Amino acid sequence: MMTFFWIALGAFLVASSAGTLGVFLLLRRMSWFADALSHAVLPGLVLGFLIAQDRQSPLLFVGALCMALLSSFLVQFLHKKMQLHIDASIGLVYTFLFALGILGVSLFGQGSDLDTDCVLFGDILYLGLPPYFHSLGMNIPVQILPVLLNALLVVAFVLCFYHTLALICFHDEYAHAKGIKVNVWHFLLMGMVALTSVVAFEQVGAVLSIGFFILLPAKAFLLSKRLKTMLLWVIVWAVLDSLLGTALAFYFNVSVSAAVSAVSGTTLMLLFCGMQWRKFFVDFKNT
Amino acid sequence: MLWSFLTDNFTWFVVSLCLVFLSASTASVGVWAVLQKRALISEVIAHAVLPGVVLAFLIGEAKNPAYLLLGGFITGSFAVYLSDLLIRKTKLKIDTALGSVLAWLFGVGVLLLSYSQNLQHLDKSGLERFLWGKAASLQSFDLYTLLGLSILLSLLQLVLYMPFQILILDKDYAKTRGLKVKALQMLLSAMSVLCVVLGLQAVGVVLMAAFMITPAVVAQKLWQKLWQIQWFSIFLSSASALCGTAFSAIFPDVPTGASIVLVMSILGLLFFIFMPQRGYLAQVLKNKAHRRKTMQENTLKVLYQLGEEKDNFLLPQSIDKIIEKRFYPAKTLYKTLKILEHQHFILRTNDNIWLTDLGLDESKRIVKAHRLWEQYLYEKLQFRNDHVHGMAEQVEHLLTPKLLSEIDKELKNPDTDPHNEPIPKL
Repeated sequence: MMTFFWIALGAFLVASSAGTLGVFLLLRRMSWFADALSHAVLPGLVLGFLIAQDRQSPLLFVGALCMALLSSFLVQFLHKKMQLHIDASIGLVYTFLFALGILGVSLFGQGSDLDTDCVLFGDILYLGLPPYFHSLGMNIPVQILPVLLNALLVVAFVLCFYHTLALICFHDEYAHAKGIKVNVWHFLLMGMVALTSVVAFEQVGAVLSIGFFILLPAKAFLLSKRLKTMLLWVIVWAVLDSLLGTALAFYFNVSVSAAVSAVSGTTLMLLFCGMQWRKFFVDFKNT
Repeated sequence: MLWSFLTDNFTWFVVSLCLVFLSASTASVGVWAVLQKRALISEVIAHAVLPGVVLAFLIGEAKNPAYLLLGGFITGSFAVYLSDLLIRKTKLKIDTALGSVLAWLFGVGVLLLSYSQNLQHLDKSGLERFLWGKAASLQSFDLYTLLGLSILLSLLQLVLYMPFQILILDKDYAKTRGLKVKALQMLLSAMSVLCVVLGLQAVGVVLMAAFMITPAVVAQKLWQKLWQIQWFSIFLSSASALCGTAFSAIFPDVPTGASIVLVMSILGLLFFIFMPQRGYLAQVLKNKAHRRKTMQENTLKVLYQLGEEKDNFLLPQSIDKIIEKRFYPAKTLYKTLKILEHQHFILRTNDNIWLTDLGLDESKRIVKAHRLWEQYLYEKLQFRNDHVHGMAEQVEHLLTPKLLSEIDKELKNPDTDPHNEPIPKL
């Protein structure tokens, strides 16, 4: 039971921090940056692993973070300087970096648990395992600490700079005219996204973390017209999806991250169907 | 000799041929997607085939790859349909809608995959192959399939070349021409899905997107004509398929798909930067040369104008005066003066500058180009005389002597420009 609690909590923390940032990405129409970043984490991890020769070393984290930032810089460079369409530049960068990561994993990953499975599934099940430390009258698994820290950081970031973030999301040029350095904020946001996707990679795998960045904000966007309510909806859906997904995963003994993603997407599609249904009835009544 | 080489390395030969066919046809289909600015849709397809493949594997429990590919084809097409539906019916923006579909379907795919890993009685090796691709498993049979695919796709594209071209240039125009835009659009999507599905076995799910996007993006940046873009992307992808297969033959641990994508990206990048005349470097150099030429010509023009004020073109002029007239940063001005001196257009002591005879002729030509163009805009195109200076400032550096004399003739050798300044005679 405790295992279930910790894993569900971990999934919730990852989902809510990614979702919160995802709202701002969505409004700035940069959702796919999360895609590029999450794929770019892989070669960074391999690079860190090559230098440190140890799966647990913090160098892996640093490498992944650097690579994620580099990929966001590359996308921006191709888009702005080389005048490629944004879709095209993201497509180029993420496939290249992902291929690099796969190459690295298959060449150097043997003998460690850095393999293609962790790319797909992530290691969220470790959340329920020892080592523990004792605090607040509970045995708290150590693995949850980075997730928790990241979530707190995201919350602090959003709460402290809420107005600036809102401004650069809704009106770039007005923000610029008010003297806000839009480029700096862009890279700060990217930095938070990079940090979150590195943390998310550890827990949910490379490819699925994009789901948390896009699906939750998409649902929130469909349900509300205000930024504050959007952020609230993200938290609500994060609770629902992570509980339901983890329960499903435990019942069928499948990957937790995939289950949460699938549940999150399915609820989005149900929401879409429901809204279409309602529209249909309203039209029907009016005619 | 050649024959014995081929029979000794038969597997390798078949594999590389397969991949060449596959990547060439995928690249040529990808061109249409990229030119329509729908590059992301190929990423969605490349992720969305996963649930179909795994589902077919779970239901059929069969080894027959045809069912798996059919499953992939169905979910891939479903993804395209669903994305279009979301974009049309909700207020979600295109990128969010596509991302949602991708994340959902891929999540479901991985979910099913991890479910299938629990089932002990299944032989999972068939499935593993579709995830990361296993080019070594390609056989003569696959070669025929892929050859058939390439022929089919190239025939389709040849027959429908014109309609596709109109479609990607202007959808509304295509509609008014009576083309079935929806059907064509669907056909293009179906072609993309087909390519991704047939590439699964060799390349795997996620990386198939690169086969569609990378060559087309590089090609459309380097070439202007559609047929050039098509051929270049086919060339780029086939070349990287050959190199990539060779690479993974040397390092058998590396998945072929990943190594081809790497070669493709790096090769593309090299072309992108270093290709003569069209590459990024060539463009930068060209712009720099043009800027330098503009600087030189402007300096000569200033010297001419300063001489005009005094009615004596051979008087020495001080550098301060030039800066006063054109606001050059001193450093660039000194550099320009050095080049002009080298070309024997000017002579200089520490502070003073003279035009030489050669320099005077050159400066006359530029001033003439400027004022003649102003006159042309004023007289022939009915611009107001206070609107012509800026445009002439640009065009004066581009007019060739031949063009100049043509304009002169057209305007019947005018003496003054719209500001009543004299046009010098050469």
